[in-house]
Amino acid sequence: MVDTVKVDAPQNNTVEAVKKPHKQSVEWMLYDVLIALAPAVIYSFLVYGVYAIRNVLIPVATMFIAEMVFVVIKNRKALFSKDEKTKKKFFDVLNVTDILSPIISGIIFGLMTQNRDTDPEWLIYFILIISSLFGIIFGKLIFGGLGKNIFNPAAVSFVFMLICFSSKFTGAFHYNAWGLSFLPNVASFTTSATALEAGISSSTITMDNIKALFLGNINGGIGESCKIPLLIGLAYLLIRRDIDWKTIVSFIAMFLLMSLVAGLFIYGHNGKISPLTYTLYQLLSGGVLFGLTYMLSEPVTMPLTAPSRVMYGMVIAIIVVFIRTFASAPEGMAYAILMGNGLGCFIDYYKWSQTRFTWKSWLAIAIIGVLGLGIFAWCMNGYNFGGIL
Amino acid sequence: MENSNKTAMACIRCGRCINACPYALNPVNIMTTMKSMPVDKEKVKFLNPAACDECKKCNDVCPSNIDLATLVKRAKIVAKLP
Repeated sequence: MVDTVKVDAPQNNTVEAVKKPHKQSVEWMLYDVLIALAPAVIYSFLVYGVYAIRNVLIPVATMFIAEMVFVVIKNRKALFSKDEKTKKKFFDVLNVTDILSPIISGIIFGLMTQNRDTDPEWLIYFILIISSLFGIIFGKLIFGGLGKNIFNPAAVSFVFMLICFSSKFTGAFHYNAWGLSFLPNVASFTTSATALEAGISSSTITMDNIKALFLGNINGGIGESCKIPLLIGLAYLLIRRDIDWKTIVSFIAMFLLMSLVAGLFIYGHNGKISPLTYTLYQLLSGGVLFGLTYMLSEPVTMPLTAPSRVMYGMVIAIIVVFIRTFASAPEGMAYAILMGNGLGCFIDYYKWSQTRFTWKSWLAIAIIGVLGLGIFAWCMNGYNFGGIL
Repeated sequence: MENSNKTAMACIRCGRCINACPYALNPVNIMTTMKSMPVDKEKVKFLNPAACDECKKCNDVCPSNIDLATLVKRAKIVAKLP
């Protein structure tokens, strides 16, 4: 029986592939994410050298081993069965998705880590292993593995690392580890760890610094700094239809709109900072582009229906701008994605979730947009700009 | 070709079946409700599986090869129960 299924399956796939060219498999969706991650990985290996290789490979190995242990525990009855008829081998129960998904989560987490040494230096190994384990176990495996998780494992790992160990990242910065001649020097405005920590002032928000942010000659996350590989990855995923463009568009639109409102308030206080430059600075700094390409658009942790996905993108954009503007943490993308993951179930509740765009869903989208913008403008109106300018 | 011939994988909630359904049903939600124990009959009725005409477009687009049409068919029976 098993042999018949194995022989039949490729024939079925070939017939379907001819009939319906847009049919994709889960394996290919995961391969696509790996291909989309490749430019960012290659860039980080080129620019940050062994530090990037270390920061990417340790989470990948840790998450992979954790997933394999989970596969053994999940299939323990079949693997350790005493009955020869029901007994299965490890490679029979192992899917390609079990191999690919922890590798992707590990790469995403590795690319979010900073290009900075810890103090003491050996602590980075401990931090990477513990954070990866925490993320993969409490972000994915305790829910039952791929497809059942509520939270993004890479975001859980990153937030765990930020909360527990951010004070340990006080060592030297690494940039241009191989001594490549075509790379420009690190931009002078980032004396602090990241561009967002440099603060908002008329000396940081300039077009030169925006160019530095786009090209990536700044300190920060090893995969997040240069925006060209991220845009290539985003374009590839959109062309292959692996991610939903509605979430991406709604997120970017809401994020730009709210950043523009913030920029206008700051322009009213300090005429040297242009609102448009401020908006571009917000879009290109930190992990916004990285997060929206590889974490925001992940289908497993998103709501299901199209209107809910638009609302999800808007809600995350609102949370990111609120955290960036008012919270003590400089970067808010990973926090916002986790909060959005939590809110996703609420947005997608079956009693009010619509499968198509109806007047009710448009009304809900409009209410979220107006409420978010209104509350933000009200908060900005009463904000003390003296501290940040 | 039916998905029942292939090995089904875990649902990754991509939502393609929802976009493909000509009657704007939510096959993923119907599937998760039908797989939960005990089955929430009120929820199944609310999701209106009776509108399905078994065109199997949800099966055709599913990247995980899940036989959604059969689950919706079962949900129809559950929805009719008193």
